[in-house]
Amino acid sequence: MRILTRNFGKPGSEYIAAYGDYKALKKALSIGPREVISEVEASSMLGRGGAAYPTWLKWEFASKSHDSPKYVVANADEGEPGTFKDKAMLEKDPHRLLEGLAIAGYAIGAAEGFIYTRGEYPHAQKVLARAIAEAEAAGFLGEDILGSGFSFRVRTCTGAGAYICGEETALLESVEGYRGCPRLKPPYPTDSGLRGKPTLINNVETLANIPTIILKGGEWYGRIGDPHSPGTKLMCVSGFVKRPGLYEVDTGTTLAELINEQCGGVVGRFKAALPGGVSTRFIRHLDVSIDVPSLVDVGSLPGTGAVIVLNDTVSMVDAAKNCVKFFADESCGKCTPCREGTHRAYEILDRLSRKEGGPGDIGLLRELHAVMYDTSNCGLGQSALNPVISAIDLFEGEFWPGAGQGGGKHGPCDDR
Amino acid sequence: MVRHGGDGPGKRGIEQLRGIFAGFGNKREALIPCLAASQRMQRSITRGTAAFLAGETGSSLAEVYGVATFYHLLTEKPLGRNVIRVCDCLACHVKGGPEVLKAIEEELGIKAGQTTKDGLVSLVESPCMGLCDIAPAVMVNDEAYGDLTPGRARDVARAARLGVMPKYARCGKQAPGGIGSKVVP
Repeated sequence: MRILTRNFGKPGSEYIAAYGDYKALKKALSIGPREVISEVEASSMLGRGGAAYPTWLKWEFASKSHDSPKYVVANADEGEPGTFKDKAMLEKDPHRLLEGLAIAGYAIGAAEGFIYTRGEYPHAQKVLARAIAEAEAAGFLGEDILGSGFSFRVRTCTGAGAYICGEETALLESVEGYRGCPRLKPPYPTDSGLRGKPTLINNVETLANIPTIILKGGEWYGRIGDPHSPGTKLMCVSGFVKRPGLYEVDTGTTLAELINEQCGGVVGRFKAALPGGVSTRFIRHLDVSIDVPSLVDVGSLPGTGAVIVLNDTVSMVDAAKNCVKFFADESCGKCTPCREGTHRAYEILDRLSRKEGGPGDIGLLRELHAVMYDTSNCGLGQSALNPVISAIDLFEGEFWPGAGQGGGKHGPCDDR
Repeated sequence: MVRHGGDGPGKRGIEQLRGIFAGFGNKREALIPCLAASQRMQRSITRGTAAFLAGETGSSLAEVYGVATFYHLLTEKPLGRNVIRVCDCLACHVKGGPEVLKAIEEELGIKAGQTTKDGLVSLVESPCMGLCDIAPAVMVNDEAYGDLTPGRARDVARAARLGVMPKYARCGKQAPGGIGSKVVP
């Protein structure tokens, strides 16, 4: 089913003329904020930013918070390597996001919304700015929207190049003009977020689902795909497949169906894939369905829906090293386990890749992962070594020659 | 009050920055937009501009540098007129990113992180820019170029030096699939 990408093929899909009236916002204004949150609850939608938290629960917390003013923030700081879904949403159907953002604002009682876009997406920023102007001119944003008495203004913020700002509290720090270092939680942003006020932060894809949920009803949406994480999911497929690109699939579709049927299959001989960006674990079997419980079962996560497919030309040591280099560059430096751990892991993988490692190096990586997972302040440090450890779990033999141990290219764990 | 020297934003720069400040209730929230604007105007964050912004936001020079050095797109080292950003993340890496980088380095005669002597082109390694469906990819200023081979990467580098970027180079030979992908001309 196509919900989010329905308009993508239309000419001028980024203009309000192609999107049409904000019918869902109109309906939301007529049924009231409580009923809006009930619909989102009935949809059972999980957040699409990577953490898979129930969307309605965040809305409920933000709406019950007594402090004011309240804010809504759309997180468009899409930095996870392999991900380009939010960019496509912003560039091809920004009004779907704006309508979702306005409905979220109405539901929790916010009068101001922010869209934080990463600095690397200059084209998306231009399209978005034009869309906001269009929506204001049409009376869907601004003062007294559609004569309801509800006022909602949207501002855009632009990042300046920092992966960590995709973490919600780091994003808030950045909006406030500081270094993007994550805050300690609790308090959660729904209690104390932007400027210390209750703030609802949702991913672009999450918010873009809202207009359809309101229009067609939460129950209707909840019946799409897998019952535990219903709806459709945007999948960014890259790496060695015949047709890389953005695909919208019902949850519950398997990765094999996505890659073999929709993407035309793997180029070369399939080796491994990351199902949700470089902070998830490598998997070697594609007969797993794209929903939260199934991916957790195989030890991975849906993450941001960025599927990176590797074939047998790729060295797993090299791939693991590349992933860790990214995290070492992007660690904000606030907490020691992550700041030091990512760099030490990179050093170890670098010497393994040059075949200068020692026999203890693989164990050291596992120990580092355990410490970083337990003690890092935010998800970056906790998941930074996921690709490394999973690569070792699945292809340990490839790491042996670098660690001065016996075995050729394929060790005993590589039992194809 | 921190004094700012000869490399400050200048009269027109100050006007522009004050225009940005005017759009914010809290001046501190304007700091990153101001730094980004300064980067565009002066191709780097100069000490003079940092001092000016410290004064305007009521913070210290160290505080402003703390923010400026945190973000990749801001730099104290002046960038060239055109900036080539070569993606260095997994999808581009496995599909020939290192060869693309090497070809551009050879074509320009500089390494990643450097600027050509004539000040025309800077070459920067960048984290993922969301161009994974057309990997290996680079961005030249605000334009994306994907499905690169070392040969095509040299063309892009040469064009960046000449300052004439070919529009057709946006996508390569292979038609990326999916519904969100760009259309191959």
